[in-house]
Amino acid sequence: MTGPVDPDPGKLQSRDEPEWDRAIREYWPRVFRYVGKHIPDRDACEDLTQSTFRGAVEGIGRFDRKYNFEQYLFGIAKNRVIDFLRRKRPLPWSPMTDPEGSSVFAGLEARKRDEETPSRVLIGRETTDRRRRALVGALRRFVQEEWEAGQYRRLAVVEALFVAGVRNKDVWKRFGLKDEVAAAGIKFRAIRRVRELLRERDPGMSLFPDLHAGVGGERAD
Amino acid sequence: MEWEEFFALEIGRLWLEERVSCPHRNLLQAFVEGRGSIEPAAREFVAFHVGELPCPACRVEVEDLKGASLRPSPPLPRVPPPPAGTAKRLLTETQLRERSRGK
Repeated sequence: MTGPVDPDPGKLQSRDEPEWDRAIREYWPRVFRYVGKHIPDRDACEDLTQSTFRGAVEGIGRFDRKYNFEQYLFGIAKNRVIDFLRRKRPLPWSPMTDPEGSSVFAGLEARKRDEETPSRVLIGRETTDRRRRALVGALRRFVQEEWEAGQYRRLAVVEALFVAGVRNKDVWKRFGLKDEVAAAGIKFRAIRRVRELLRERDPGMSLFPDLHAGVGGERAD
Repeated sequence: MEWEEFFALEIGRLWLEERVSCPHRNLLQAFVEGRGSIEPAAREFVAFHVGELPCPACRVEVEDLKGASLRPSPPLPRVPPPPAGTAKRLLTETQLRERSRGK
């Protein structure tokens, strides 16, 4: 049995309808199955498959012919799946057990739903590329340092605290730390180090005016 | 805003969006295949990052790697055909969008 014949990139780039029609009929089932492998929701699969082809049509002008169409298409599908899962990210393990429903994570989720808190507006609307680059650079450097020092567990603790939003009292148990204070210590050191790395990139902290007041306000917990 | 709040609100989001701590694909491959080239502590980190955090991008990578190397193919689900006229619709939509952007 022969596999699908790659669509003609030239025809696709000139928005040739019959060629796109053929490409869509040929690849639709495979993209759908690929999405379905990660997302067990039929409606979502259909939406993401559509969205993948929409992205393929929109971006075809930038299609790099050193790749084939399949690689191009599945690269888009993969990004769509990741974006979808990122939006749907489930709650992390422990905060659900909080009897008062006041976990940090739940609080953050509520704030996300409320959307425009002043900080989010500030970050969302006024953040320049420079600000984002400085932050990402500092974080990458921090991760690299932890990685090179072999501090994998500490890195996982940082992820649990800041990315999953899990509280110190849950984190120390999960990672077998000595106690809650140890988790707070890791948090404190991470904040301090990232702050230092950020200052190296932005000595006057001019990119982060909203954090000026908080410089002295960091707490161990 | 205090630094701790800033971390919780903004850095957590950026961390995943920018894949700040995502292990290299080779490491994920070693993790999936259970190879010895990944030290136990690093394996624990990857397990947490992929399984518990969970990082959506790395989850997809790991599932893809499992699909490619280990897992027998699951039975193929019934796939609905593309809606009739999909190509025409997508091409028209794209054209309209580009026009409205003045492209």
